[in-house]
Amino acid sequence: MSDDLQARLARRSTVRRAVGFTAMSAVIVLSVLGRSVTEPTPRSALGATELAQPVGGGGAASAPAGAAPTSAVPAKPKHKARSTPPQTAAVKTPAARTSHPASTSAAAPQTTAAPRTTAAPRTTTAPRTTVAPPPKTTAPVTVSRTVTGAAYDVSYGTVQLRVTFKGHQIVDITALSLPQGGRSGDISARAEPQLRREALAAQSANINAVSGASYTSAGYAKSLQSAIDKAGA
Amino acid sequence: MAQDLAPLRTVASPPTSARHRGGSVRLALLGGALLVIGLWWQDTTTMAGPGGTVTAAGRLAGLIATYLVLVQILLMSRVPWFERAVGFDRLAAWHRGLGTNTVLLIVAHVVLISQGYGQAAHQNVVASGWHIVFNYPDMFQALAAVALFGLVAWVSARTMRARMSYEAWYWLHLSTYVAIALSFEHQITTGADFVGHSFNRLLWIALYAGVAGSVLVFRLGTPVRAWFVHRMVVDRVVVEGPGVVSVWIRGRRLDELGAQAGHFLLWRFVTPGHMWSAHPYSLSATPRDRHLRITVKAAGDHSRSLARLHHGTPVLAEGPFGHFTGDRRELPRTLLIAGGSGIGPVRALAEEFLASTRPPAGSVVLIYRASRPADLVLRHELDALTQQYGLVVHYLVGRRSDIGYDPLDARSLAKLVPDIRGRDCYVCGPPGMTHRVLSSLSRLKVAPRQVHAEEFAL
Repeated sequence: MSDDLQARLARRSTVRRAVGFTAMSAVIVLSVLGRSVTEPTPRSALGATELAQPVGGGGAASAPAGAAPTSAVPAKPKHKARSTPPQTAAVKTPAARTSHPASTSAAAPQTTAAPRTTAAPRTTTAPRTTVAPPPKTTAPVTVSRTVTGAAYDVSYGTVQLRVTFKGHQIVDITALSLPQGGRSGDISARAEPQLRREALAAQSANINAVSGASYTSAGYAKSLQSAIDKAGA
Repeated sequence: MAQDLAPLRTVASPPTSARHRGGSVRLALLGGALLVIGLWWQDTTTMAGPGGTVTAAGRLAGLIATYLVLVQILLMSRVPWFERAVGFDRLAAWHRGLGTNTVLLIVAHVVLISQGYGQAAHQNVVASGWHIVFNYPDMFQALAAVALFGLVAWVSARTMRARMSYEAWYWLHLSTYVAIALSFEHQITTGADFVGHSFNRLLWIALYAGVAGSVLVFRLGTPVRAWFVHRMVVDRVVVEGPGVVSVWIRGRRLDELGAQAGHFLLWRFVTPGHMWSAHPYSLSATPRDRHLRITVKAAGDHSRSLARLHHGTPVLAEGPFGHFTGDRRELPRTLLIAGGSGIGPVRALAEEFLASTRPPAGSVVLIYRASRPADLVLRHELDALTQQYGLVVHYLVGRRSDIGYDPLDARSLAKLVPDIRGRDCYVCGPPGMTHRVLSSLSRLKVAPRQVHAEEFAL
């Protein structure tokens, strides 16, 4: 009789546990469903201001990246103010030895560069058309300059890019810093080529976030934007 | 039944009053779980993309599993609020009930994360799991923790548990603390909810610290303090019958313990063979200022060796615990039903009911069930209570197979105690007997709040 009772108790507690496990699984599945339904997608990487903060805090550096996607033509004075302060403004001109007037290209394109950053909806072609006509006759396409963008803190690490321009064209993007180690490193490794491809195609920082790498994407877009601003491309 | 009085065998259908105990604690624990889900909800940034939803589910499973692990530790940490609101017996039952599912959630976490990351990286689940363990920080520790949690679950499973000594099981069970420590770091260093989320990290660390604190204070601090206050030692050991011994414990200011008849304490005798495990035994006499008594039937190695305790052996006690006490009584008249070593707390209750109020004769009826006459213990004490206060005792002796019926079924009980529905019924005995008595009482329509049963196999 005791064995019988024991067996009955065992059965009962097994059933109770099965019910408990089912309930827990249901909670998890429902939570995931609920979360994915309420999720805002897709996301513009540049618009996700809260995901990437300029390294060292500071409002000055955050202004350019944050304002960029919305600023229209009248944002010109801002651009000017911006191109000078960034602390990491390491504008290198390795191609300067060719004696081509890099200085003119740094100052002149401001006027033409402004419309580029206006590109509200990313259509890849729209911004390009505005860049296409080189404003200066002196600067040939062969002049390539390398600009280091501002560093952005993206919670899992820091994102900082080095962008190579040929004239006004972005020809190469190298990541100086990306979130590293463990899962972050894996995500960086996966997201970086995709972001680079997107940015090169768009010729701007108006790129979509890579799914599962929203922080890195935001930092990438912002560092790229700051490099574009510095280059005045 | 070669085991000791392990706090893990529960009675089938506890009275309703017990089932509804601890609503506030349940609510608090549920609130904590919602908080954990909320934490996950607010910092999950995106689930789009390959493996996104699977990974998110895996993370949530991991968070909930961790929360449940901490809850289980907390349930066993003797927090006074829990003990008062829920009671040690049911806390132990909750702890055990959550165990299996916690380990299943941990396994789900491992599989889902591997699968989710694998989908993102176009790897299969095994390759992805391998990659994670070898490349992510603190993953070897986490893997060891999974193995330990699995081991603990395995040895706690009913079939394994029955084959192990209480001590071996207890020590393996303690390794849960090691597993918790091992699994902590990978949450902080790789958990997407914590890396770069300093507030979440702080919250999580506070949760761990809170649980660790309550373990230190209530499981370590309280007994140590009790030792310095009460200085309990074994006074003498009395053999009451075949395999039944009473241990008298002497101490100071024992009234400050707040122990009542029907309470049990977790006893640890500081002598080789007893030092490393604490056992729950009920008081078998009304507690006095300088003396406590337990009466134990030799059910296992531990209880058998109690007979060899010496005078002066130091005793560390936690407690008192339990809801099997006189203050739960609803009506002036009572029926006490005892079997096996359940006679200990029942005798203490009878003494308390009779000596405190000196009710008219017949107010307290005691039914003592035993298979053989030799198993009846403390008989002279019951006789003394009868002579002095008019306690009515019915000895029901004989195996059911020999006497041809169950003297504890509804009909027999009603014949023996015609006014049973007008009494509070206290039941304490082996699980089988308790179960039968409880179903008889519910068949006799005794109100659930009048029924009191300890959920331990005492």
